[in-house]
Amino acid sequence: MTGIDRSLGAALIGAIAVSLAPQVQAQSVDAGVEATTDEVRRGLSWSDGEVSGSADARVGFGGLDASLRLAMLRKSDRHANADAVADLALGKDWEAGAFTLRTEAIGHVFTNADSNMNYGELGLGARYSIGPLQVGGMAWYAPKQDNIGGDNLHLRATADAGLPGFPVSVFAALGYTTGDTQDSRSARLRPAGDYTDWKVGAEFNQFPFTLGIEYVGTDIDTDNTVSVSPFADLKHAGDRVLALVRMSF
Amino acid sequence: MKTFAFAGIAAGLVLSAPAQAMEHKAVIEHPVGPIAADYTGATRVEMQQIGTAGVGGRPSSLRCQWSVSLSVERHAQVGASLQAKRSMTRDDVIKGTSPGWCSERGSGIDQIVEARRDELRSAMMAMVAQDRDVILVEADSAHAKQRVG
Repeated sequence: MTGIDRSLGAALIGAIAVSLAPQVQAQSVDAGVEATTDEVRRGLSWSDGEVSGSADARVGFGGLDASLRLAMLRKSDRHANADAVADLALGKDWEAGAFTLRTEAIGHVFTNADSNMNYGELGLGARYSIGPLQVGGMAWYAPKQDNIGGDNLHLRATADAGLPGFPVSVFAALGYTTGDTQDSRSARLRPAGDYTDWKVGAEFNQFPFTLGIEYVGTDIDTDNTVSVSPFADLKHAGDRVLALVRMSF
Repeated sequence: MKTFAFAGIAAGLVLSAPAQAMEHKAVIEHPVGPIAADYTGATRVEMQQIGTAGVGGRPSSLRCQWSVSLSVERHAQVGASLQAKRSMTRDDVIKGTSPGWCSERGSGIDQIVEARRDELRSAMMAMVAQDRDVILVEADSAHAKQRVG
């Protein structure tokens, strides 16, 4: 399985390298650096509840987009003391009337972890925009992989709204994560089994800066649950407020 | 502000950039006499509010997709009698995206346009160079008419 993860990573890096090469025809390039009080994904802290920094870049060309994001994980308990994660994604938006369909492949490559933590997943979803409101639904499926102790499915509904004439966006998301459990590594993405997470927040944009505040939470009973998995990191799987500042290029 | 709000509800919106017109004067030698051509360039910003999928590991978000087009107006004086006007437009001279809700100031488009003024200037000069042949054809036909007349 490690071989598969490596080849997935290599394939994605290759695809992104090829995609980045014809910069001249690139339709759009956007990039940024970000600092956050906690690197939270799907309601779970990936940085032990500590401050994290990240840098990302995305190139869009002919409907396809390739992106790379590097985020500090601060010797994350959830990911076997990994220092950082690189998220490599290749996606495509398909216009279908009023809807935009989305397909993507993402590889997560962890650096300096005690053991191989890399895994990959596939995403399928749709977005719909009506005036200043954008709603979307997306499913990500990580097929059975040893590094995440089974398979994993995450379903997410999102709503983003801009306030016309005012540089503030508000957003909300609701997610559900399920999957099967083969060993303790499944607790990386599902600390105590299937769970629901949510997020509400606001962002203030004044180019090139974005300031954001989010309230994130999960329905995991972090006080009364005990996990035998060293990857569950239940202390950092509950409700919290986090702030972020981003500089876009 | 109300206009902005209403425009924003449409799929795309168009606003004029702060008009710092670019100018260029050229003189072309021709049998009919020297042709004095004055060019004035103006930029126009087109913004479209879009939703984008997040970079791997980041949530999806609202973005503003924008592009700057350049319109150049030419006024030429050919000989003593003929005035030749022409309008040229080049779309997407500069384009990009910015996070959040479209706002020309808040999205940083005005700053980027200002910073890339040289690029706009060279795009305008390329249009001026292309226009030279058109002016010559116009002057030739004017010259021919004069001779016939």
